[in-house]
Amino acid sequence: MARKQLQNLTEPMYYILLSLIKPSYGYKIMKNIDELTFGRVKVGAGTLYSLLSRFEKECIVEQISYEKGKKTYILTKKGEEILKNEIVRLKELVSHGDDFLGGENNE
Amino acid sequence: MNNEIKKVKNKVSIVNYKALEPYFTEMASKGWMFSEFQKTKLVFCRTEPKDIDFNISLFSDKSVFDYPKETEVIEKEYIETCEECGWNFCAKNGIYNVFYKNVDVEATPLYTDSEEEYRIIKKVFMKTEFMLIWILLLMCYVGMMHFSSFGYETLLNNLLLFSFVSPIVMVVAILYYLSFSFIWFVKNKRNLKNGDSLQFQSFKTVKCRYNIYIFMLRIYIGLLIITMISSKIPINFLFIGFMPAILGLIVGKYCKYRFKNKENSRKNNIRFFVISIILTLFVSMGGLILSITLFLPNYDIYSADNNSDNKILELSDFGVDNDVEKFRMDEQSSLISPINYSYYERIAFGKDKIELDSIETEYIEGYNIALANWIFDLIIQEKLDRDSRWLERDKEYLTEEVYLEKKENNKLISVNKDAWEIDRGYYMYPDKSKIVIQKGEKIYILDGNLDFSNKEIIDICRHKLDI
Repeated sequence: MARKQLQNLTEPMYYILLSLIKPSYGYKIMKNIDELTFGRVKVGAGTLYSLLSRFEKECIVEQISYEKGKKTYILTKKGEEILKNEIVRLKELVSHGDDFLGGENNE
Repeated sequence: MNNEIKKVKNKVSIVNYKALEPYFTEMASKGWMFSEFQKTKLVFCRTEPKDIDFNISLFSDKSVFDYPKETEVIEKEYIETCEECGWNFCAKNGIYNVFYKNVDVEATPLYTDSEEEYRIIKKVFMKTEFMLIWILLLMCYVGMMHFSSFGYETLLNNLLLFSFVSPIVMVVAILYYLSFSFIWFVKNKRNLKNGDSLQFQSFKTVKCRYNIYIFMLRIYIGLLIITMISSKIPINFLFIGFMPAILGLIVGKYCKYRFKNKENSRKNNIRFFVISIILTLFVSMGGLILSITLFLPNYDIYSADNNSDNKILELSDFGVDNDVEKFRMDEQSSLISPINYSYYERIAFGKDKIELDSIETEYIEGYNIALANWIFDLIIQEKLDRDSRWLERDKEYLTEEVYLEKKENNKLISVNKDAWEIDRGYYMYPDKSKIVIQKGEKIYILDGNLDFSNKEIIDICRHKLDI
């Protein structure tokens, strides 16, 4: 599946980080994204674990526990920062779109 | 292979790993369920024909330098997550994880983001197949060394010929193999830029390419075997030649065993591997030098007597009979020359020097006139290049007059073809003491303190050499 081009985070990246505001593990993250996006964004296990490993290496997420064969992750301060910046950026994009389309509609 | 098990060579490269999925599906529909990886082989078990979908993922974080237990936990969790998503675990090796599901079961594919998948493929490729680039660079270096030393003598011995040709074959084979991967990366990067999905080749195409690659490697091995047999290399020389490869293999096996069984970080294992390789190189080089020093004196390439029917010139042909030392180079042949040899005689050191103190005959036969012409041209070209190189080197020490005189002397002087009854020939020195002549497929290089334009000398030479 080709992803939609986002400037900073890809959609799977964004939703994984969003899911990790609260502690979560592999399958739960996938389920959460599925429910959150009403099935629009699907993150496969391969993509999820590859991204989690990247995030962990870059200290964006950290492992907080390992129970019953499941690693639980949570967002780090750095991860929160990245996520907040992304949200600000997305809001700005939407606001610019609203201004433009709103102006056009008013005319 | 029995009726219940089928083993197929895995011909898929990292960039086309997806080709395995439809292939496994096709095999399952024919009643062959994929069961395991065995080194370079895919193992299938006989089952009822099934409609099954396969999905394969790559281990991007694992390398041969990792202690397996370190990645075991995450691997286990990953497999469990895939199973929770509806995929059944089938098999794995160090690179691939294979999962399957019945066609009617719904499950999210393992990779849902093309960009991330591309990144994973690139990472795994760099850790595995890209390593071939080191062999490629080594072969390019060896090839360049051989190119710079290429001369007519390269054509006279299969071992030299192989040393010259083999890096080319290897470079072509590796470039051929890697080029498809590079093309894949370029093509799919463009696809991603355009928002398209990754494209993979079919198993049939991949198989065809792989077979061509293996064909090239077989040519290489074939050439090596022909060389070994035809060169009649003594067993101790063979051992010396293969010593670096044997040592490298032993060290490689030990490293693999150590990384698998001893808990060390990836960094430490890489450090250990690099040091091992450097030590292996040093030991190999030391061993090579030592072996050559020990074995070379025992390898008698000279023989005092000319027992064969080879046509040669001897000092006795010119009235010199006493205190003569005889040296005969081993007769050799190659794919270009069915026979070539050289014979040399000289007055023993310490004895009174006379006008004619040495004579050398080099005989080269080409398989046909075209090949003989090629060898002859190379001999002449080498002489001209050498003379001009030396002259340019000494130019700053010479006066203009001497320089021009030497330049004039370096020009080739043609031999009187009618007197020799040959096709062509040149004197190599202005004093006509060295001559290269060709008659049909036969080439002679004669060297001695003689004037080879002298009729009497010509007659002796023609009679002795059967020209």
